[in-house]
Amino acid sequence: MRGKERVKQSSSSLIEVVERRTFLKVLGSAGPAVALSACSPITPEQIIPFVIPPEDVIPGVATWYASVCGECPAGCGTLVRTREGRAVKIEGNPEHPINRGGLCVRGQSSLQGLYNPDRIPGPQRRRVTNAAAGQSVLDALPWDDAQQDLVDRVQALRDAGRGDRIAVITPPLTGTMAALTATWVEALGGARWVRYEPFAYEATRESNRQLFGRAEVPHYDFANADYLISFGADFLETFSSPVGYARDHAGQRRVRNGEKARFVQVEPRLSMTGASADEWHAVSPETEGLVAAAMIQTIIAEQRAQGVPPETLDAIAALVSSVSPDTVASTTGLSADGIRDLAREFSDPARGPGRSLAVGGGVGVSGANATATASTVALLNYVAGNVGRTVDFGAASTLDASTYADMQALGDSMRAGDIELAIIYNVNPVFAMPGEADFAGALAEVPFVISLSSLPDETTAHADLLLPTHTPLESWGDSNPRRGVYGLLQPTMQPVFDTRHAGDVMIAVGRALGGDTAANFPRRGGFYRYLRNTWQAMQPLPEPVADDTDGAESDAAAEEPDFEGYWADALRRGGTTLAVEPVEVNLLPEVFDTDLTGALSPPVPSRSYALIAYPSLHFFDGRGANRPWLQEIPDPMLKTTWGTGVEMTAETAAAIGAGEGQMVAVESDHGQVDASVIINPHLAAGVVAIAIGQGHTNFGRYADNRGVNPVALLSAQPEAASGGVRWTGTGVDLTARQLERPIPRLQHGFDQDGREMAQSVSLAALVAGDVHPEEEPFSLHPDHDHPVHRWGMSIDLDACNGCNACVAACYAENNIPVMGADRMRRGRTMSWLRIERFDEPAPGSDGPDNRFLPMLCQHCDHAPCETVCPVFATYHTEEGLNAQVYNRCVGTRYCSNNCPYKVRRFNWFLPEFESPLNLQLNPDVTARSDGVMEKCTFCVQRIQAGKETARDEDRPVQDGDVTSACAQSCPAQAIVFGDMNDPGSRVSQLGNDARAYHALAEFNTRPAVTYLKKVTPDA
Amino acid sequence: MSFAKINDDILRTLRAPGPLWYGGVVVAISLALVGLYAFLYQARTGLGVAGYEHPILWGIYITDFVFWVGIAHSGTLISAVLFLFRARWRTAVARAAEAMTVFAVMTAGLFPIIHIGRPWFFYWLLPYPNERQLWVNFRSPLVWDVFAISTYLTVSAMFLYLGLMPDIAAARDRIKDWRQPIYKVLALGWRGTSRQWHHHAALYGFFAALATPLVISVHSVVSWDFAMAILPGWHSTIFAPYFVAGAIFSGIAMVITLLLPMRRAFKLESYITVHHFENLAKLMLTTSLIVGYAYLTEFFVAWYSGNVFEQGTFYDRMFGQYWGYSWMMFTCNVILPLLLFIKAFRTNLAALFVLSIFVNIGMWLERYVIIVSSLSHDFDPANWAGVYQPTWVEGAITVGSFGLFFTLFLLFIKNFPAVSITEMKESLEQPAGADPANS
Repeated sequence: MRGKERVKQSSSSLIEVVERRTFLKVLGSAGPAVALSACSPITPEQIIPFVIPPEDVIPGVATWYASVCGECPAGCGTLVRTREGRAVKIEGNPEHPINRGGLCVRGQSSLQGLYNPDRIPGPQRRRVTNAAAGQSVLDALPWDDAQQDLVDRVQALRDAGRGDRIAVITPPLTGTMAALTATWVEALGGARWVRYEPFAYEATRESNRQLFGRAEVPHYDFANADYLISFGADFLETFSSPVGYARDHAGQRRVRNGEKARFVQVEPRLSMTGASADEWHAVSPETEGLVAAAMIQTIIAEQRAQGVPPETLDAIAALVSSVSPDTVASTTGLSADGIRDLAREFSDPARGPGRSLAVGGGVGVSGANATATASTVALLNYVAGNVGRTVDFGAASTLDASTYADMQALGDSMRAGDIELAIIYNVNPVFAMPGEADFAGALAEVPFVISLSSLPDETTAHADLLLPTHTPLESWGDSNPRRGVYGLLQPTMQPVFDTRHAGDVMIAVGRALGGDTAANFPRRGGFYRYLRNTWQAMQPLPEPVADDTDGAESDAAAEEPDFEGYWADALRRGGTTLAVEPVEVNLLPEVFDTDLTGALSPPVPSRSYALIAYPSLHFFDGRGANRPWLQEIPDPMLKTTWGTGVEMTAETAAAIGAGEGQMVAVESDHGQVDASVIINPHLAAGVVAIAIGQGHTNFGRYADNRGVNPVALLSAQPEAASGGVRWTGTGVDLTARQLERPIPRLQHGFDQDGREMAQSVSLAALVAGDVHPEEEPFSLHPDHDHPVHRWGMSIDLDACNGCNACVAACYAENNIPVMGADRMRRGRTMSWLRIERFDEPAPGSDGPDNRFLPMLCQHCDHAPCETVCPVFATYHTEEGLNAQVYNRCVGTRYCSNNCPYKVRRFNWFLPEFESPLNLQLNPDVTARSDGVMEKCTFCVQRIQAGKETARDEDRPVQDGDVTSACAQSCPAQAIVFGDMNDPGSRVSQLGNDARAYHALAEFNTRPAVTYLKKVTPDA
Repeated sequence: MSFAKINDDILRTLRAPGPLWYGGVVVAISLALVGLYAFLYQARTGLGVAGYEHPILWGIYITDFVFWVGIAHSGTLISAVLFLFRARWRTAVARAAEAMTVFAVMTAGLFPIIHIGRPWFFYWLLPYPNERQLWVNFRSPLVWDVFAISTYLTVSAMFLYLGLMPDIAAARDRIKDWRQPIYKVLALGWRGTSRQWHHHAALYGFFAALATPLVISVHSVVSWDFAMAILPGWHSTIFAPYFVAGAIFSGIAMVITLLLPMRRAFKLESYITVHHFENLAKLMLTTSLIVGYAYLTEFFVAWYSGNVFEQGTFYDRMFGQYWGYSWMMFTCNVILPLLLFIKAFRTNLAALFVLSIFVNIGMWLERYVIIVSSLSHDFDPANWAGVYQPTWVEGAITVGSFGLFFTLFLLFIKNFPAVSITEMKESLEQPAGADPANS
């Protein structure tokens, strides 16, 4: 009884204490406080200083910074969108001459390098805990101590006159950073500086040196090539400038005046680039040069050469006299007539000189005869009069990389004990160099290794001192990817981690080292000052004043041009361009003394199959593997995710007794790996292929122990002429193992099965007007009313090359979560946009008539999903959008079942964004919870922003004000977004194009997405 | 046989249960708890713990839902439709079938909730006035489902209760334990006056007439979940009759599966005779033939349509990744029931029991094949999925649903007369002066 009473009393007092009003008060004050403090691990002061608000940070308003992408040497200009002090999205800079608005899948993903959870958080020093077992731990230490350690070590070596026993390995830097590094290396006492780039195009540069005396990768003018033949150059994927070239190429390939520029690809493995070709010819590995040589022979023999002096022509004819289409046909796998046809088309006199283009030298086709092949391709251009026209040495790439052979020599020096200190900045040779070269073993012989790298990788695993540097998005810098183009990088946000700019470290070290060289480094302002000084020196002088009456004053004006204005303008626009001097090149006579055709003959295969190690669109040389988006987005050709394997034809697989997903041991003379079988029908006979870039062991949680690294199979021996890696042609044997490790594939078959998803029209039919616009079927239902706007999209299947840039842009823009390999096995990707790929038979080509079909929500006017939702979570807006209300959705998933396009994605789990990747989330887009359906919104937040901008400027929304993230990113400009109610908009006009069709039109869903049929060549 | 013996025999089943019953209940409750655990785990972790594979976004749970709704069909058919047709043989099996109906609908009703992504918001599917002024979409077949299922549950529960009322009164008078007060309440003061009997008979007839269209409507509406979608393999006008026939088919199979063991355990052989089972078998054979005809019609229509999507789907169903399921379904639902043409088979209860199990499996597979194989192979070839791989969660919840169903059924038959006392007496020759209810 007493107990009961006590309970009663205490419960009543509780009610008294927490009165409703008090409760609400507590709720009102505690709620926002909790919400604020839970925002991010970074203190709010660092993001937005409320006390003294910086003028460019307005909560809720995005700030854009022009910068340059640092993912590959191409140097595309970017515009980085920041919100509340965080970079949330990267877009191509429309004013930048390289990419002109587009950005590739890797560029989009550079945000995930910035916010990578595995980044080195601050300086660390290795402490050996168990020398016998080789165990060690990394201890954090303050920056100043770490930097002093570097200074002390360098000082000791320099003072002892052993500065040349320091090795500095950097990427092939350009612009100010290159100049600074050169100065720094000198300050270190003449350190050995190697500019390492795994894909350094040594063969192309060497061949141009031999032929023309210019060791350069020229600029290829795809925009003016009426006929293009590519000998394995993957210019839409990696190569020297994939985004810019994709844009030029797509522009040139549009049907104009009833004609379409022809594109032929010759290579042993169908690349994504080759998939866009009108003709694809499978040749045996390392025989592309023979094809080109036979073409030269035919062109000269049939007197179709253009713009070449007769005596030079005779000399070239003599060079290739030992080959002809008939002699190379059996070796290459092409027919003699086929080669003759290629030669005739390439040198069509009706076109005039310099209107065709041959490109070669792709990494995936560079083997033991890479230089000879590159020379032959260059000669092919020469005899067609292309050099100086479509092959432009004036705007050549500034890529100034050391060769692989230089790295190998450095490794030998390390092993010989000649290197006492190695300073490695942002390169990963341990991963990317052929396994047989054993750079890791060489590094182990170096007493002390210092790494200046943003991310941990296989090379930093051997470092004794880690000085983590900024990523490009946090850095000042500039870039000079090709002559005349100067891009400017500016930090877009506060550093995410305790990192420093490599230039700042160099300057601080340079000054701390003292001596004569200290004066070469600015006393204050660090790298920023250094950069400004460089640009000040580079600033073109203003036009001299015509009326020079007062000499002193005008001199003063000339000495002090308005640098601040120039600098601000360059920063705003992302750089500047300078005029390029045209370069005349001529064949050097020494060329005619070489045995070109002898060097072209492919090596005799040592084993049963020839291996092609090709650069990956997503991972490049491997540096993209720790970006979850790049792992998750399926490979454009194979549709594999989260892994790589060994590609082989079904015949090869049957011959070794293996099937898709089965592990096979791949063994070469130089190494052995186990890899999962991927069946790929588009390989030349006797060829197996492995993409470069996976098989990491120390590159963070997303990359490690995934896929296979083919460099383990490659020979350490460089290609003799150029010193490059022999990426292709390694002989391998395959042994099937009784183990299944299938790689998740998001598309299981590539046959359209008569469904006509991706349609085509032949060029002849298009020109003849023999196209039948689809009839809109009769509908019993009234159409929706769209009083102001009706947003729509058009996608040109003829321009789409499958590059996945749009997919990555969508991930970044719309907070799409990454699901991981296990969930991919059940097809549970969350991507709102996928690129479907279909193979159709293509007469006259060894390859398929390949169709890429970007598939996203079609925003149907008569949407099947809308009628079946029991709770109106999906409905039609008056602007024609098929909207999804996440917080109304209960997750019956009926909408997806009823969607003929299957573009809806269900949140099977609560999405996770591992910190600090969550900082990338776009604040304008809801992050979805588990149990709800989601899909493409046509970037409704961007529509809203465009409408608001128009309203602020007191004008109606114009075409171009609003574009979706996918359309913005498309390098080929295949996607156009706009208002279909505006008859003048591009999307409206494209909707009336003869090629326009709607996917699965027979269901009368009336989509807002119009596809333009692919134009197939006339057979 | 006298009224008194009927009372004794049937009310005997309500006496203290034996170990067999206890064992059964423990097993059933354990299974139900396993299912509950799996559901809570799924709700907490995310629906992804089930085996869904894009684009197969409906799977085991909807299969289970349709299966249980189908099971629920025979009860109303036997009690209401056969009552209206005055098929007197139904008397012995009607009560068990009605109870089975109610419990099967209750089980089925859980599956849409288990299936949805946010089960805690399942009530958003109900049109209730709310301050957010949100309403449901009456164009969606799922909303029709909500009404069809809840109506069916209400009517079949009322129908069961109505028939039970005189029997509860009998139990009230005979059972002298803790249940008596409950019986007293539930009997609603039944005294067996002729006025009460008059009203009861009128109401019973009325409910039978009300329930009969529901037999058709419920499974028609459930079939429209599929038929209203544009997916090939679902989008078909024959779905409503096809599903109703299938439901009755599976329901009768389940009645046989349940009644045979119950009859033996409760020693009710003299009430539920081989004759009754033979009649059920005939009904099963009829519905099997209808279902088989529907299968053939689907294939014919797919072929005759010349539509690439329809043809692709049905070719895939027969020879694609799900061929094993499809052929097993054919065997169980169409080929094996042909044995029922043989009288010796129909009257062999052991054989009938085995066949009923096969039919239960076959009908479950039918729903699985319709749902999963159609979704796996729809319009866009780039989407086509691999083979659906259910997880332990789906298995546990499916098994748990059987656990729940059997728990309810076992509790029912031990606490309420499993054979209608009233109707058994009515079917006897009326002894002079005897009051059927109070003897």
